[in-house]
Amino acid sequence: MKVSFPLVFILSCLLCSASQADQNSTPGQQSYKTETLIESLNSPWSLAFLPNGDYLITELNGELLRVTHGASPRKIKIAGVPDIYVAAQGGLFDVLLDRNFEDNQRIYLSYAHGKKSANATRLISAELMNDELSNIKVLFTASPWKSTPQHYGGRIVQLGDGTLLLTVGDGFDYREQAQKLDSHLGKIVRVDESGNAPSNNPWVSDKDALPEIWSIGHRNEQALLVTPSGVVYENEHGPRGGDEINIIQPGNNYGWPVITQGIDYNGASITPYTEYEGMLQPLVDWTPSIAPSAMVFYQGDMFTEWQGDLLVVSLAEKSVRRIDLDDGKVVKDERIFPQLDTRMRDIRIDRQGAIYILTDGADGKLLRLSRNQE
Amino acid sequence: MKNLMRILAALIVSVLVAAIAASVFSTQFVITGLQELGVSIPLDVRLKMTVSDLSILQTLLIVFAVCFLVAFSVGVFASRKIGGDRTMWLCLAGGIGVIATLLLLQSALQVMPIAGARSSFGLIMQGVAGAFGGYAFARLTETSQSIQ
Repeated sequence: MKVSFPLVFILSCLLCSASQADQNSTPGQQSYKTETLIESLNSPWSLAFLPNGDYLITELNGELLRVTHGASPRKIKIAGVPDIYVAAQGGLFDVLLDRNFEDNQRIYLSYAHGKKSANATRLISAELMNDELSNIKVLFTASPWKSTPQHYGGRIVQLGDGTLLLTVGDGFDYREQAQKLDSHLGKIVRVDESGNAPSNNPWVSDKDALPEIWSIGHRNEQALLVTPSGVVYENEHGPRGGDEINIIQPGNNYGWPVITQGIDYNGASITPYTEYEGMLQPLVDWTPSIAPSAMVFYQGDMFTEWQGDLLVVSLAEKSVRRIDLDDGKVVKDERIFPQLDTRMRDIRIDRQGAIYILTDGADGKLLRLSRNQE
Repeated sequence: MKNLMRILAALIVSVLVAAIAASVFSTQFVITGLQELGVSIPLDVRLKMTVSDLSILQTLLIVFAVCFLVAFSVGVFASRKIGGDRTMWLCLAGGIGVIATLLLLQSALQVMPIAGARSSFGLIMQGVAGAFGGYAFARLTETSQSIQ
């Protein structure tokens, strides 16, 4: 049979392009689309989804915004936000809707409270109605207060029993306090919806310990999440190197500053140790640092191949990372969405499984990543 | 020209002396901070960390050089105008210069750039390191006139 050269050529091209399409159809390549939903956000820090589809977004400078969904989003400033200490890393941090928000309209906010000479991480609850906060209650203020505008932590999570976890950073210059039970600095704390320390907190019976403390030995925790099965994951910044993901259990010591893979910014040692008795090793260590910010446990119908994995956004590395978990163990740590080359501050998943990312900085954006065939 | 080279060489040595002392002092304070948490740090670990931390010199040398250019100029001026022991003035200049520099950096960065200087005592010891530098500069630049 005579085969025409043009036909062979065309068939070869088709085969090559099909092969290329297969390579590009894996997640993190070109099988998704990226939409910019909102622009001109001023150092956005956290995103929450309201039941009607609108977004609640915090800005580091102290603004809490309700942004309408749809083709022409409007930004509405929520009134009644308390005074925020805005300086360096300090400002308005996380926003979280109560698990029963549709009934009680309650939200939680974390922020830097105080002044230059004395400031601390604070957690409040408030009712959000008609774009205004009311019935504000201070649930927790970290102690002792500090004189640095760095390392506040500030992520909030609500556990299945309704209690709240909050990350509290070490204040940078106070790093040894991360190991001290009479200080909230460098801890994850747990309080109930009234701000009281639950009776089953690990050090609640220790008269020399602050009862809110849930875990110790942290530096500057930027992410906190709880999976549907109740596993708590956290990530935190190391100094120069030593960024970590940890699985958090109450009563555990995560080692900072006694153990770390990192060194000080000026090249000196933080500690001579990378391991020490009674202190836990991280699930993931990033050295050199990537400066991880937020993290989610992926559960959704859109990127099903990532079901049960951790997705992490970062500041310094300007990346989205996927931590492939298999029965709780890390199988792979890879960059995904390579075209996103910008500092990123928050990542969330909506009910459809689409991924939302807040970019960092004075011209922050809300991006939505979804499957092409949506 | 010969005098200028001598002063330059003295400045380099004084910066080295001060920076090494500052690094060693800082490491001891960091170790003390860990020991106060109950962490065991045997002598061999302390020595290894102290030597390893000399990598901080890459940052300190530049900072101390700029600091001493200003501080020693003031110290020499003061010794000539006010009188008194030249070496004492230069030690004082070196010490105050380092402390002032660290406090300025702390104000700009909003954190203390040398971990071992976070406490008052640690900061004073950084000043002592600066004074060592001042002493080295004084001895290396003294002339028969300045000795009299």
